[in-house]
Amino acid sequence: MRVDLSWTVDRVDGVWFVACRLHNPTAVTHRVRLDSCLDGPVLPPRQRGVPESGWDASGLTLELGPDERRGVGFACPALPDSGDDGSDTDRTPPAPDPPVVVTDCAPVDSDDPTSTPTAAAAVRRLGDHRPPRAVVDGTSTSTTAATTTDAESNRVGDGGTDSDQSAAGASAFGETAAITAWLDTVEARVEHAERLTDSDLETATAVLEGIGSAAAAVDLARQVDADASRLTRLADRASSLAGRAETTDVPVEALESLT
Amino acid sequence: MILAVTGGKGGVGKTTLAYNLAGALDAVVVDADLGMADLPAVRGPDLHDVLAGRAAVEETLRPGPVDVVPCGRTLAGARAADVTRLVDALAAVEQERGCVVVDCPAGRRADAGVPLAVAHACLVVVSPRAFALADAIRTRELARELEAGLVACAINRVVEPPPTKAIADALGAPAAVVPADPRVRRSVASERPVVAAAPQSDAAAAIQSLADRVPA
Repeated sequence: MRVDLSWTVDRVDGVWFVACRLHNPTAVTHRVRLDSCLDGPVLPPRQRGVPESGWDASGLTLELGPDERRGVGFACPALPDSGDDGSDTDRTPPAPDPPVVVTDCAPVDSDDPTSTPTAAAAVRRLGDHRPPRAVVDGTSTSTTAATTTDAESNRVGDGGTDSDQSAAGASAFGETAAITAWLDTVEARVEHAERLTDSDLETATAVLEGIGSAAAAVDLARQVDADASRLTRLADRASSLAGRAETTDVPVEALESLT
Repeated sequence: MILAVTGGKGGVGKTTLAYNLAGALDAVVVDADLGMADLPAVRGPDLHDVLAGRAAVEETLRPGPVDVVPCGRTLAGARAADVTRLVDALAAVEQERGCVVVDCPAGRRADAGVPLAVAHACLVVVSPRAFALADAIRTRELARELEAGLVACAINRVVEPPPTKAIADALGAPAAVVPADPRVRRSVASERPVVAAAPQSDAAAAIQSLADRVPA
């Protein structure tokens, strides 16, 4: 066998964790097949619920470049010994030695076409598309409650009942409170910066004592710069939204006559 | 041939363009927007059922002026969907019908990536507004990583002359301008693809030119 393999096995809470180190000492790329000898299913590493490339039910197939070292590992539930009399349910057989074997190892042509991207690879790389369980179940979490409130307040043509308006008010209040809190923080920073701008030594010392040190002043300057650009963007967006909001004209009466 | 119609941003007219393109290509259009399906659906099994392993894709194929594989409208269905099943589903439709146009969802999550990984080529739909271009470029990058060749980009719902060359250069593909036309907008709901309903229109010509770029 032209590939070096070493391993360690740990048992934690009834699960074997097998860590393997592979080294291809040769000068050519080898395709290596590694099979588990453990009596149980191979639980491979996963990304977003999809097993990593190369893993299957019994082991792993991977390619090792010249002089490449690679660490791979998997878990396997350590099943209790079925032949036991049942008095000691915690007793598990020792892990077989070796826990993994290299069952196949052959040089591969480096001109092999690279594998085409698969759906599994796309799922591994990209985020989960599925809506969260809480949304589907309708269970009450803060997020879903907020969404529901928004959805209710967005209903059009209900005649604008009091409860609708209060729901909209409550939701708007929550959003406004967050914005106000942020603006208050920014205002405090800008006040500090204003007092430091063209200040005499006494004022500057007083402000520096308030904010900590000269290093904090550097941070302050950076934050105020960031605040300035963020506020400008916000102002642009707010004024354009306000302009759009003013020019809208929902034909309420005409819509009411439709229903 | 499996062609993914994608665009990154929502609301740029991917569904309308996918439907009309399928009309021009005599293809089946698959509504793969698992969370926000738009193509007309009737009662019966849909793509959610296929991706949940409850139905074969052939059962969901709904004949019409453009044959549609509709998608369910429920969040529960979207959650139960295993998007990797799309591989076999699209292959089955392709084998049966030859050409498949996939209406992809917005964003860069798995449901947008898997159709690109399966597709042989893609078409990016971009709105003539500047902010939509950034999303289109990100989607174009994703398509490149997933090896879905870009056949063209469609600048959709154009009212004023758009910066066609700048968009084509940014996306690295020939750009076709699809003018805003109410007949295109209505085509999905009324199930009348514009190449059949108004073959002399500029919009139909633009969609036909896009269809001509799709390799057989």
